[in-house]
Amino acid sequence: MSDRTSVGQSVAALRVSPEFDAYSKVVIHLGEDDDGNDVTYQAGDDSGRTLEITNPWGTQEMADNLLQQLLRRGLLYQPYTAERALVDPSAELGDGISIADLYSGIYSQDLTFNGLLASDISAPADEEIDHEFPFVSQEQRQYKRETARLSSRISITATQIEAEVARASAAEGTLSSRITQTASQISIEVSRATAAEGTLSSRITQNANSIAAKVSASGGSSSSFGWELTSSMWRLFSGGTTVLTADRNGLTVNGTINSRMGNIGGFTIGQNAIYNNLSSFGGTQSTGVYLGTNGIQLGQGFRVTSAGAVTASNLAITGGSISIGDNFRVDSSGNVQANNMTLSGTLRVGGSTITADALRSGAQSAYNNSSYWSGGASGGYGFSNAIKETGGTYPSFFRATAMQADRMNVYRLTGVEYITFRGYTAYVTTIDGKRVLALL
Amino acid sequence: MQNTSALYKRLLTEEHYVETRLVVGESGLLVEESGLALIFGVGANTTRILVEQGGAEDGFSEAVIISMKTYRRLFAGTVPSVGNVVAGEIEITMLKPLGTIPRMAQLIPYIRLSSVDGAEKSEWIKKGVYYIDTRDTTQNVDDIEVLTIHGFDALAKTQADYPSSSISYPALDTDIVQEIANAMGVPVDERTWAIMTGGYRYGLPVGYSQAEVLSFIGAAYGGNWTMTDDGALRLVTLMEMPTESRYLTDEFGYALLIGGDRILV
Repeated sequence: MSDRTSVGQSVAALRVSPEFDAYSKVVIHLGEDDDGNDVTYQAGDDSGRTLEITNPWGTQEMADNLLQQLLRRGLLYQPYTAERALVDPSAELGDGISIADLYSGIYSQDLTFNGLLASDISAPADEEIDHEFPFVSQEQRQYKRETARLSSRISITATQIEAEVARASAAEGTLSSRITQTASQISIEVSRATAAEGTLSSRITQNANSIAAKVSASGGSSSSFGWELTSSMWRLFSGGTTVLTADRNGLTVNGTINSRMGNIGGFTIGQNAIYNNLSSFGGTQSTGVYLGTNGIQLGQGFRVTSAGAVTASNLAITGGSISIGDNFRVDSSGNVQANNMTLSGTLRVGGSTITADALRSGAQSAYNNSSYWSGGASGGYGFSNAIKETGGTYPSFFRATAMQADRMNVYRLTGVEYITFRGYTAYVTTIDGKRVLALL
Repeated sequence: MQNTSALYKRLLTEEHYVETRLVVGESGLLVEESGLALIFGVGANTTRILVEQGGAEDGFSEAVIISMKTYRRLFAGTVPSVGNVVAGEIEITMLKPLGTIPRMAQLIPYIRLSSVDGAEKSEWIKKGVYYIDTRDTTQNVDDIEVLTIHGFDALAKTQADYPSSSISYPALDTDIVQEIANAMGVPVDERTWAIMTGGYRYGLPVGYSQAEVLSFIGAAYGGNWTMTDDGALRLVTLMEMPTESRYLTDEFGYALLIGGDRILV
C-alpha cells in the first residue's frame, strides 16, 4: 500500500489550507430515470462531508462498504502546496508526506529532473464553491448520461454465446432482445410487455436443416403466426395449425383463399366470374367455359342463366328423374306421368305407332287388309298384330267380350259360335252337312 | 513508494546529487560512462553503435538533456475526488539525437543517487514510463538542433473504447480491470488487487471508454487510477495513506538512520 516520507524543512515554499471535515456520507449516482430524477444509493448522514461518485452499476452494498471504509480509516484531507520540495525520488502518488509540521499526502507531483530533483507537490483544495461559474467535471457529465434501467448481458461459455439487452420504462413497458448461439443453432428473440397489449414476442431460429420465424401474443388475445423453411418445404402456421404448405408438388392451403383477381391453370378469376376463353356470359366463342354471377356457359352447347333457364344442344340425363311441379314426371326407367299431354306428332309404343289418324302396329303405314286397323275418323283403327291377348297365342286374334259398331265390315269371321242380332241370335250349325249360320 | 536498497536509503540521508538518464525507444546507442554515444570512425565516415536497450545505462544523460519534467496527479481538477483517470505527462528538451526516433516511442526517465564525490552511486530508479505524443525540432543560437518532446503515460490509451472481450458478463470488476490493462499493454500493480475485494459485478460496458469504466470501478473503492513509476496500472484510494508518523531528523530535515532505519518518534 502507500508509504510515507518526509522532506522536513527541505522545501522552498509551503502554503497550507484548513483541513477538510471528515466524510460521513456516500452517495452513488446511477444516472437519471425517464422523468429526469436522480437514481442514487446513499449511506451515512449529513454530519460531515459527502463523497459523491458516479457508477451506473452502483449498489446499496457498494455505498455501505465505501462509507465503512471512510469511517474506519478516518480519512482526513489536509490541503497544501509545497514548491521545490526535495522529496524522496522513490515516493509515489498517494504516499503520505511530512513537511515541517504538516502531514498530508502526495496527490500531485511536478518533478524537475536536475541535480536536486525538486518537486512541486500538493494536496489540492480549490473548493467548487469558490467559483462563480461551476465547471461540470467529467464525473458530473457522466452522471447526466441516460442510464436508467438499461441493462445488458453477455454470457460466453464453451458451448453457448448469449447476449441480452433489456430496458424498462413507463412509456415502453419492458423491452428485451436476446441472441443465443450454439454450435447447432442461432436464435434471435425480441419481446415487449405492456399492461395494455400483454406480451408480444418474435423469434427467428436457424439450424442446419431449417429456418423458422414466429410472432406470438399472449395475455388478452393469445395468438401466434409463423413460418418454417426446410430443404423440402415451406409452411405457414397459425397457432399449432399449418395453414399453407409449399413443396415440390405444389401449394396446399388449409383454409379459405380470398382473392379478387387471379389466373390459375388458364382460368381467369375476375370479380364476378371465372372463365377460360369464354370471357362473358352469352359470348360467341365456340369453346370455353364461363362461370359467373349471371350464368354458366360451356361453348355454344350449354347455357344456364342465373334464373335457371337452361339451353342445351344435347342433353342426356343418365339417372334420376325430371319433374315439372306435380304435373309431369319422367324417371330413369322411362316412366312418364303426365296429368295432361297433347302430342302433335307421332307416338310410338313399342312397335306400334299412334298418329293423328291411326293406331298402327309394326311397320304398317296403311290398311292392307292384313288384320290391322287403319284409317282416320272415317276408317277406324287397324292393328296388325296390334291387338292380342296378353300372353295369348293368337297373334292375329281380336277378342272382345262385346263389340258394338254401327256398321262393321268383316272380311272373314271365324270361330264364331253365334251372332246376336237385335235380340235374335244366329247360331252356327250344320245343315245338310254344311255349316250355316241359322237364325233360330 | 518504490523498494530501494540500503545504499540508496543511506545516500538519501546524506548530501547527494541526482543523476538522470532518459531511455528513448527500445533501442539505443552504445554510450560511454557520461552518456555520450561512442563514435567510431573519423570525418564523414563515422558511425555509432546501435544496441538493444539494456536500461538506464543506455539512456541519454544530462549532457544532452536540456530539461525534463514530469507532471502527475490523482485528481482531474483542483478538488479532491475519486474515480479519476489522469494520465501523467512528460516534457523533454534535448539535443536532437542522430537517427530516427520511432513514433510513440517509449520514454523512461531514470534517476540514481550519487555521493557528492561520485564514489558511491545507488541503483537506477525508474520514474515513469511515457510515450511520445508530439515532437518539435528547432535550432538554437548555435545552430544546434534541439528536440522538444511531449508525452503521456499509458493512461492516455484508456480514452479508447472498451475492448472486445471474451469474458462473461456481468463480470467481476477485477476481471474488467485486467481486460483494460491487457488492452493498454501494461501489468496491474499488485496493490490494486489488495484493494479491489468488493466482488462488484458490471455488465458489458457498451458505449463506454476504458477510462470511464476504470472511473466507475475506482470510484466504487474511493480511489483514483495512476501509473506506477514502473509502468503498472494502480488504484490509489483516499483511505490508504498511512497515518502520520514522525521521524527523528537532523536540522535539515533528513531522517536520522541507525543501521539504515529511520527512527520513529
